[in-house]
Amino acid sequence: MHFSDLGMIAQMLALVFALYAIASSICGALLKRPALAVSGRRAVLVVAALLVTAAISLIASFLEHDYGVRYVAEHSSNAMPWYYTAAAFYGGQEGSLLYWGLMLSLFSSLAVVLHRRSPVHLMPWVVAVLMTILGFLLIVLNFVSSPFDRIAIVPVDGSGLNPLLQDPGMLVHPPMLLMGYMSWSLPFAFAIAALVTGQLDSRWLRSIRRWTLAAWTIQTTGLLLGAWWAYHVLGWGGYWGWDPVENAALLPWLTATAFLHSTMVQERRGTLKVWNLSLILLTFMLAIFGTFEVRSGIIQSVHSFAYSDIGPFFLGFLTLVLAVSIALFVYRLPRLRPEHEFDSVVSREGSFLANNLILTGIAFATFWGTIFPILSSVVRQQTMTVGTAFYQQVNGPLFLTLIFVMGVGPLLAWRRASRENLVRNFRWPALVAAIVAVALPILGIRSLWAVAGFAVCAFSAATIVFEVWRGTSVRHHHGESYPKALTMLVSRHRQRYGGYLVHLGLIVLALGVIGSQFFQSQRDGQIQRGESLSVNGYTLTYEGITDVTVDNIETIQTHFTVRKDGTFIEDIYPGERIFPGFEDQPTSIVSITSHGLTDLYVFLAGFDGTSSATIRVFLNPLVPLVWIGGVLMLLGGILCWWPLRRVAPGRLSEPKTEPASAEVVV
Amino acid sequence: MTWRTMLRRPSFMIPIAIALLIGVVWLVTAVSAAQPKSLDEQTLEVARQIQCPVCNGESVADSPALKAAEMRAVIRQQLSEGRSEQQVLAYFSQVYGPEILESPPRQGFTSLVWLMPVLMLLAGIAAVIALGREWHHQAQVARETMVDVEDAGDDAALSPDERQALTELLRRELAADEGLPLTGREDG
Repeated sequence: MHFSDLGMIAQMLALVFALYAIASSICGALLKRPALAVSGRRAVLVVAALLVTAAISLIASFLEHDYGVRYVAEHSSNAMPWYYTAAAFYGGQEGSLLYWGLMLSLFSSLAVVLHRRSPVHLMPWVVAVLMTILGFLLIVLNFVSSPFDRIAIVPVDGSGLNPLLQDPGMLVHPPMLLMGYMSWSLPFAFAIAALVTGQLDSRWLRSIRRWTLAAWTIQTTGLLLGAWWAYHVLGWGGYWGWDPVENAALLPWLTATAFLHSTMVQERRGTLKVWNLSLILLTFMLAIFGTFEVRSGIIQSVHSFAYSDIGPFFLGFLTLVLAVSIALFVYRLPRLRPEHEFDSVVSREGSFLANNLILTGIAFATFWGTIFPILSSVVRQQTMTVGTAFYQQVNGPLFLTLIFVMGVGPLLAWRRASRENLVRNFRWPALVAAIVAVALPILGIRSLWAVAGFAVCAFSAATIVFEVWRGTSVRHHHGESYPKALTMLVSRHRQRYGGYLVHLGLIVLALGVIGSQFFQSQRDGQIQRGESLSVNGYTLTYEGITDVTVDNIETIQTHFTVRKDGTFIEDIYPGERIFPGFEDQPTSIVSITSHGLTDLYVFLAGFDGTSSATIRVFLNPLVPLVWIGGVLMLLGGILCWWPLRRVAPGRLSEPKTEPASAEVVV
Repeated sequence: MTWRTMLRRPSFMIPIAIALLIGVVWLVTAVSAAQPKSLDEQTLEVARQIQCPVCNGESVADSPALKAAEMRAVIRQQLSEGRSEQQVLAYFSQVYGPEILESPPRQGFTSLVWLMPVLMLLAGIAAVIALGREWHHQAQVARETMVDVEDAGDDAALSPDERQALTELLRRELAADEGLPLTGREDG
């Protein structure tokens, strides 16, 4: 027996148990038989165990080079190092679907274990929804696109993995992003369960928020790793190209971010229930759309290696999800009435509305730009492209407004902000922004868009710093030292200060984006050995070229010395790698070195023997801030998500000092 | 309060003065003669607006493909012959078809790609304003119908002593929630 047989059996049994879990949970809920619901939950654990078995079988098939398995033969070869061979597990379509399913089963098990004491009525439905999603995947895996299919004629060697994927980034970026897509299933399951049972209490809200935060953090990591991979491998000097596949990954992130904000209004004021539920359902549908779009081949993208024929299945599933969601909504609408009213648009609630408007606006524009070429080819039989210019011109100003609202929102009082509230909270940040707006043009920055961007970032950053300083100094006046006051403040209000950290991270990231967007310089040139090329004070001299073949992988590296204003600063070695079997697809070794906050990015475009080389040099100012900002956002997300241990006895509501009440204190 | 007295107050004068200062600086920056673009910069700017025909989703400026390099050379050549950026773009659009352009033309059917996001945003703003008005209205109705609450909830209805006592109470409760000692002084 082969490992692949074991995998096939495990995969089939997983489908059987998933179907059993659905039936058992729904019967348990409808007939009010807790025993059946418990049995359904246990089935989830069995499904997870079976899928772990299937995944291990596939990895084992890869590691023992069992080329009788078609998937293994198509995605690995004897020459590949063991870690890429193992990672090839999710390098193709069938494997990535199995990975999706595996992760979903693990997360479902986690949900079952964590929520074992949750209200009896909700969990069976959550389980049923999760297992339905998994059931769909397992049907595709078992009957349409199985990674365990065997071929009659066993090749001697496999055809290897796409060289673009043989990169350290590949080891982490795709699994993270697939996990991100998958993880929206959990908030979705909670939303559907709430619609079915009609229970949308505060406890439910907390659960769904926690899961959404977790998914948000995973998706953010996936997006950042994707940007990092693009920056380090693709060689065009950028990290985000508004590629359809990138857009697809950003869409659920945007709507989920909107959701995380507007649920705060629901938590506080009991309104916006319908809106929040729609956002989370939309997020899941966008995640499925993303999974579908990558595989469908309907849109041109740098991810074209993932094309396949299972697109229609995902489209069908998407339609089903949409139909069920709408039907449940119509059924439940009478129960979703708001509990309180708003007072004024100039309030925290109002700023959340603005936040949601902008985030969904960006999501819409991005979605529209992504699908417009399809629309155009259907309606007008005319192919067309929607390039980066569209996204930059539409989303750029929207993101800037978002950052502005991000500065304003957290400092507005709930219900209605007074004039005093506005003046006291915003005069210093506004002054900081004004100084930036005046100083930068005088210092020689000519682009007013960039100046406006920096000024808005300064404003929002100042509001956050001001707010943290205010909270810390209040505690300090109660007798705590400043460092202790700060740590106590943050640890007692993790959600709030985690949120501020995410905001701060986004501002830092935005600085990096503005820098690289407006101040990037680029130079292309073919230079002879011994000659030089200069960009903005950096002089690159071509010293020579080496060609080494190790383990069948040919590595060509050029050698340049870099001088800044005449003094030597470093040696760099941009080059390319040629993998066996992919001689026509060399992957580039981009040389990226940071000098202060400016990246020197050198890409070897071609070479002519040992005599000359063609290079493309970018100076990317502030790009390191993109990664720093991204990491801050992640830390903030984790801080928000981290469980609060403190339970205040005898309190009905969560004790929090929001500005509305803090106004009296401070 | 008349305009004259309002304008004398520093709280009005300072923001207006700052806004004027920013306005002047920006205006000067905007109208001061921009440095003429170099041929390299111009070439790149045009290349960024053209799709690389042999790649997936990369512009002529970004793509490392040979074809893209050839096209960059053509752009450079035409620009150096004195053609304008628009003329060069028109040339490529004629040779390869309009889909080669990165950003869809803002006319005819393709103008929809630009119009729809703007329209949706306007619709969203309208919806938010309508929602805000409705909430405001509901809140007023609620206040009018609940006269007692209206009186009790109004700060002006409290005597200064009552107000101070309540403030102190709230301060203590909040400090207790925060796990802070109660010795602190009032500070803002």
